[in-house]
Amino acid sequence: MSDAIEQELAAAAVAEREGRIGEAAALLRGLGGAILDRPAALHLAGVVAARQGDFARAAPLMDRAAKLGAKGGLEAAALALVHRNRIEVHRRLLNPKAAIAAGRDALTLAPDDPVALNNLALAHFDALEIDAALACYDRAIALAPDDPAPRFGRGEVLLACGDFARGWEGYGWRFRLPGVPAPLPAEVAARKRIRRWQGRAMAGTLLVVADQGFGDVVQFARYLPWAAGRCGKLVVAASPEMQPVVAQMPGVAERVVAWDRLGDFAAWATLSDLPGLAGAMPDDGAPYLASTHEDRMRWAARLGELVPRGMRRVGLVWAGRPDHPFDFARSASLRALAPLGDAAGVAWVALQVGAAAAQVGASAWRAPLVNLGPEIAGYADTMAVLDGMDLVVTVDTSVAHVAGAMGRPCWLLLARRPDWRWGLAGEETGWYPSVRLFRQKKLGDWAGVARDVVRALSAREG
Amino acid sequence: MGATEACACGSTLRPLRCCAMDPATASPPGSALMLAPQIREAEALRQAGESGRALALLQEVLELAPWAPAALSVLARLHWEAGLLGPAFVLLERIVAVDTGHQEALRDAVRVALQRGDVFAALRHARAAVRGDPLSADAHHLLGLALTTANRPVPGEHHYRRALELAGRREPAVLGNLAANLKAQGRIAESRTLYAELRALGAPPAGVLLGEARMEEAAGALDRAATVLDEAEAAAPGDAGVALARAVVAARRGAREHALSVLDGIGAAEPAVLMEKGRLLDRMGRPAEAFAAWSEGKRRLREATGQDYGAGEAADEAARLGGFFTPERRRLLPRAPVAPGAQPIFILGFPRSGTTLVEQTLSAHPAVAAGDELPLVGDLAAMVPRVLSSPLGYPEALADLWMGDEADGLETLRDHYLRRVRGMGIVGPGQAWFTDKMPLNEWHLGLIGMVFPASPMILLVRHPADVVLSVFGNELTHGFHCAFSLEGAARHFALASELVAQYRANLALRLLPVRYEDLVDDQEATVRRMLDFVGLPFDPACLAPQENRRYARTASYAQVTEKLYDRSRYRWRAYREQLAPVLPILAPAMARLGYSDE
Repeated sequence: MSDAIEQELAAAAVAEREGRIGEAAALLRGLGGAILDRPAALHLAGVVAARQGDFARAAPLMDRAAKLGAKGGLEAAALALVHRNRIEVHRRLLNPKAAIAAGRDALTLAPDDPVALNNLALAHFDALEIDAALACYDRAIALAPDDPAPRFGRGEVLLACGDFARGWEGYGWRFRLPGVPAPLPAEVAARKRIRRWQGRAMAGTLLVVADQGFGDVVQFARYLPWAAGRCGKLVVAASPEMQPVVAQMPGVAERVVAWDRLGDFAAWATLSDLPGLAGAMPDDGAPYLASTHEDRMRWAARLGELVPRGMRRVGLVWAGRPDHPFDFARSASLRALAPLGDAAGVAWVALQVGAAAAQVGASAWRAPLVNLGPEIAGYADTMAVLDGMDLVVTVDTSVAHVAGAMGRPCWLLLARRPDWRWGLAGEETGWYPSVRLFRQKKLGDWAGVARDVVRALSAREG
Repeated sequence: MGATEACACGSTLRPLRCCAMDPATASPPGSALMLAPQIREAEALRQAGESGRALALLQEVLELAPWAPAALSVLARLHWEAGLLGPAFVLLERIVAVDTGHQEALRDAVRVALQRGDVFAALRHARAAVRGDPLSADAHHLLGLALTTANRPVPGEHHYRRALELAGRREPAVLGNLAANLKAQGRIAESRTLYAELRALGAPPAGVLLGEARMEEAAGALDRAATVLDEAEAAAPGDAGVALARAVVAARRGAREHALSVLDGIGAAEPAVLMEKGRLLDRMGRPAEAFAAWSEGKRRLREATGQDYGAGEAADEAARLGGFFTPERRRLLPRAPVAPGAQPIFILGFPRSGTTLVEQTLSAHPAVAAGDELPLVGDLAAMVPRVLSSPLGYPEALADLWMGDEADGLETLRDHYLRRVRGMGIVGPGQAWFTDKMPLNEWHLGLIGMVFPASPMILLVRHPADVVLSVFGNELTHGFHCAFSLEGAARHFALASELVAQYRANLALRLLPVRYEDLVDDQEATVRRMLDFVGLPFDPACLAPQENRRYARTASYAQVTEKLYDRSRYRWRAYREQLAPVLPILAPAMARLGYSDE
């Protein structure tokens, strides 16, 4: 019997290692309660649940594995690994306190594990314990100087603290992170006589690749005119979605959306390199985006149909791209923001796109909530709709950047530990003067932020 | 199925001589002439009350000539008299399938369909009857009846008046129905005048007195209603319909124990009596007995009408609607521009979710006319394939709006709707809005959003268990006959709720959900929100919907003439045990709408 269980567990472990997560989960399910007194099996089940995105299920499994493991059920190295994984699982559950405790347990058993140090640094950063986070990163870097994760993580902490000079340096390690695609495809990168641009003036053609998320592109597009002034010809490679943004930037001589259309160039850089190369501090530069007259007229007519007259039109976005690594903290849900539904005199206009837009179907707010997302076909539409709003309230997504880049009033709802670009305190941001920051007082507490917004809306009305 | 087993429709004939027959094999009418003596004998036996012998003889005749209209007609009558409406209707439809101009069968089919609560079938056959014999007073009378029952009282009135004209005399039966029709239009004074005319024509029968009493009850003249019911009782002692009306009036006057004893005094209880009894017991705080009365009432209703929730048909239609109105497709479909004149406010929601209360509230505003349950959105859906010359059905036919020569189809639909509304005389001078509170119009949210993109839609949201309980405790025919059983009501609620969530997730709509519970808990704030949403200034009259003298036709009328009450909020908790089997069906909707099962 016991042998049979061990065989099943071994098969599940192989399936997990080889990425057959569904199969691993099925094998573990088949074992039922037989795993409950086996710390290694509990840990495996926790890892499988985490890889399926079910952190609420993973946490108690791993916690139990750690508890049994500490009583002698696991060797020190295996137990340290359990604790290391617990850091990330508790982070995902927005519980940095438990994550930090797990990190300390991991380091007690394996004090020189750079991965545990990196994970613990993230947990400290989540708790806004900046010195502790930097200390962990520094030790991790000393132990594994070529590992990009602590380098990049440290860069983000420094940028968040306003230390831009050192921050950009760390930020530059992002393309070495596992899973991050190279900015240039291999066949383009293999071309002869091309070099990575270092910001110096040049005569030939410079290719700038609009990398990272849409919000990053909008935010850093402001540096395109600076780059255009330092090269003979500026070519920008960007996805089709970003064309309405890139097309508005002065100095861009040519735009390409497909690599096979790319002509010759002498040097290249990513768009998100530009602030570092320019030695940039947050600098408003906004507004630098605008909608077209034709789009504005079309959307004004549509909004006239959908939004009651005489009410304040407030755009709303509650979720970003779900595959963003920080989405678990930066995205909210309509249900979590429910206090917004009690705002008086406001007609909410949901600009949400993607799967999260479906949450409108399950809402019954007291204030009208128009689900405009399904009709928004791209950023040209977004810009025109923003022009029809009195205000937009959004979590940290590209819409905040577009509103800021247009100079439109925007209230940005931030996780207790926000993305580096919004700093760690204050209601203002140097990047966009028209954007006001609303910060969580407790990690995960969107309802509290929503109540702050409702209060501010009513004060604004007065 | 064995060769001698009876057909599942209940006709008592063999399937091969009944529903399994191919109409193409039917003999021409008149070909069963040789069997005429036997058919006459069967009719004589029927009239003599010897139904068993009549049935046996008819089975023999129809074995030989299964399409013989005269034999089918007698058999239909036999079933009808035995209260077996389902098989009676099947047989009548068989007659008109082979003899489309068979007036007697058409008219009987209308009557049976109305008794079964199948108003669409009634309308279909009544229209065929008028088409076949446009000078028949009886055909017009029946079409008037079918239209009035289908909440189309204005064209109904037209046909009643045409029936009187063609009859060349003041036919009391038509006058009685016309009086009831005028009551339904809220034209109480005219209705009262007609009842007076009927009295002047001679001692009115109990049925007419009953109609008059209901009119007085609707007008709120409960004492007068009670007096008329005394007369009706004298005219037809022991009449179940009269006793039921007496109980209703007694209950509205607060004499619930008396009302209950009146209902208990009715012998073999009809579904309507049991349903009323259940409602009384509910109000008296006796939930177990109330639920038992409703259960028995619904059981008998299913038995008598042969109708039950059309689960398969409903699920199929919901899947097609949900599958059609995807965001990608919706972005490509056009919207009709707004036409001049008064605009509709759509009050949406499952039956018994508070739509009548909201209509009474909004139509208390001087700028808003009450349209009541307009059957027009359903009409538009049915018209789509024809208007767009599409070979597809609805909703798939909407794809024909992409054709260059059909692009203005939505305007045709919009204009049809508005023309019908104008024809109903709903909108008064100075009124910019009218309400359309047909329950389950939310089934067609996608279509409404295309035809009337700027019209406000108010979606009533109420605890699903309260809605389902109330649907179960009332007689309704909306929504594929879902009200005919508790499970049917729950399943249809779940289906409609899921479809609405899908529409709201996929489409940009001018829609405000309003919780019934908010309307009870915080009436003024909720009323102000609704008026703001429509774009109307606040009017204090909207806070007293019970003062709105308009008569609301639907099952809710007695409640909306009372002040707002919270008795019906979370009422389901008293029925937790009885509702236990359907709570799992409602669980997803409860979670979605933010209601607990506690």
